[in-house]
Amino acid sequence: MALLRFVALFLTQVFLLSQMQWFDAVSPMVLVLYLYWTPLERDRLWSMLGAFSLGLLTDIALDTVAFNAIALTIAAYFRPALLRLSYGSSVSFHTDSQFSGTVGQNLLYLFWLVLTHHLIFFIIEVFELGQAFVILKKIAFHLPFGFLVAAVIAILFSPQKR
Amino acid sequence: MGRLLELLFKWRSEVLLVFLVLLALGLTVTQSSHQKAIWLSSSGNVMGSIHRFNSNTAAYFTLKKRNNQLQEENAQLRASLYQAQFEKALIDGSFASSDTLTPYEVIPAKVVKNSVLRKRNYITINKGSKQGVTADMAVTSDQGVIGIIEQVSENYSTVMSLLHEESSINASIKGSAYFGSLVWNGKKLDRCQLSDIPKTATIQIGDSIVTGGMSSIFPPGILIGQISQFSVPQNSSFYSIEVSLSNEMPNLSQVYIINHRDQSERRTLESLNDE
Repeated sequence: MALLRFVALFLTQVFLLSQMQWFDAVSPMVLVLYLYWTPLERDRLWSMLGAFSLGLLTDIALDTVAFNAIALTIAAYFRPALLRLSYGSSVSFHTDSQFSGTVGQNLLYLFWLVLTHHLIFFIIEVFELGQAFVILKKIAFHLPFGFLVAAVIAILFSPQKR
Repeated sequence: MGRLLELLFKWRSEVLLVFLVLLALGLTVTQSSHQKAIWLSSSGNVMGSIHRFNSNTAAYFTLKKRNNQLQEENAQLRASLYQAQFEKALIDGSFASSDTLTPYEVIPAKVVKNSVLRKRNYITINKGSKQGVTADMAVTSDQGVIGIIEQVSENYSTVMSLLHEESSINASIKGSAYFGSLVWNGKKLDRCQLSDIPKTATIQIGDSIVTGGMSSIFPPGILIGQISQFSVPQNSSFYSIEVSLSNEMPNLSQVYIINHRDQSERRTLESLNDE
């Protein structure tokens, strides 16, 4: 199932979403859905390796060097913290996936993932902290569309609650 | 080794994060010209800062050695300066002709003790007979005259400071031929008194006072201070001049001992006249 999601997300991002240029500049980036759908009990190491692989393959396909690889790996590292931030500290007692939360909690978790990914992605892309305004501007443009599309996909394709 | 592996296992997520991010960053800076240019510029700045820090640190720890080198160099330059002043004095006629081509030897030294609160103040310096120091040699700093060597042991010497009530140094007003004696009245640490300057001399406040060519101890022309005030006492033919010392006497560190090589010959000759 994880492999299927991996391939589906890769294909969707590379052949569908990256071909869309909203307002001639904005392409939704939804690779973080891989982390969103990763089961809670999944070891952080495997999450990071999976995220890195997905990011790097996408970067090769889209010629974005390794921006996605870095952004997704860091997002995967901070996933436990983002989960606690979204679902509260009781999340650590769950043995199932995160989908047992409310819609609001799920969307909040997705928002943190998208924000973390976009933040790292544009920092690496601009690569100059002196250009902080440019970084913030890019995040401000891309984040709403990225989050919107990711949320729609997440709602449409979420597994049923057990 | 076991502990290292244990540590790596404990921090495996962080180790993997660093490894993957560095790997991806490596790809980024090698494959993208924009990131590569910024990286090279930033790393150049960082390496420059590191090199500068290293250089400054190394310079700090070699300061003492460098200071000693500079003091030696200063001593040589001073010897050359005194030589030039001596030659000028020879031409002026203030000095007799001498067989010694370099009449002054300069020995750098450090002050290890300095008293200023008594009527008879002495300075102890870290050079003695082993380094060729003998009594009655002149002691100066880069600011001016300090005093005269009085007692000498193997490695140390005591200097009769300018701030000594028995100190008397031949001094003149720079640029004039008038000579007088510089003494200390024991009142202020930064003031000495110059006497025996006839009131026919034209002087003004701020005029420089330097060592006179009459001295067998000091080379001529070494700065002592400036005239801070002067007056002519009633029924006197001489000025009463107060001199503001160029040296901060309580704050001395590096000094130079001047060995006047002709001094003994000159003294022997002059002592014959006294007999």
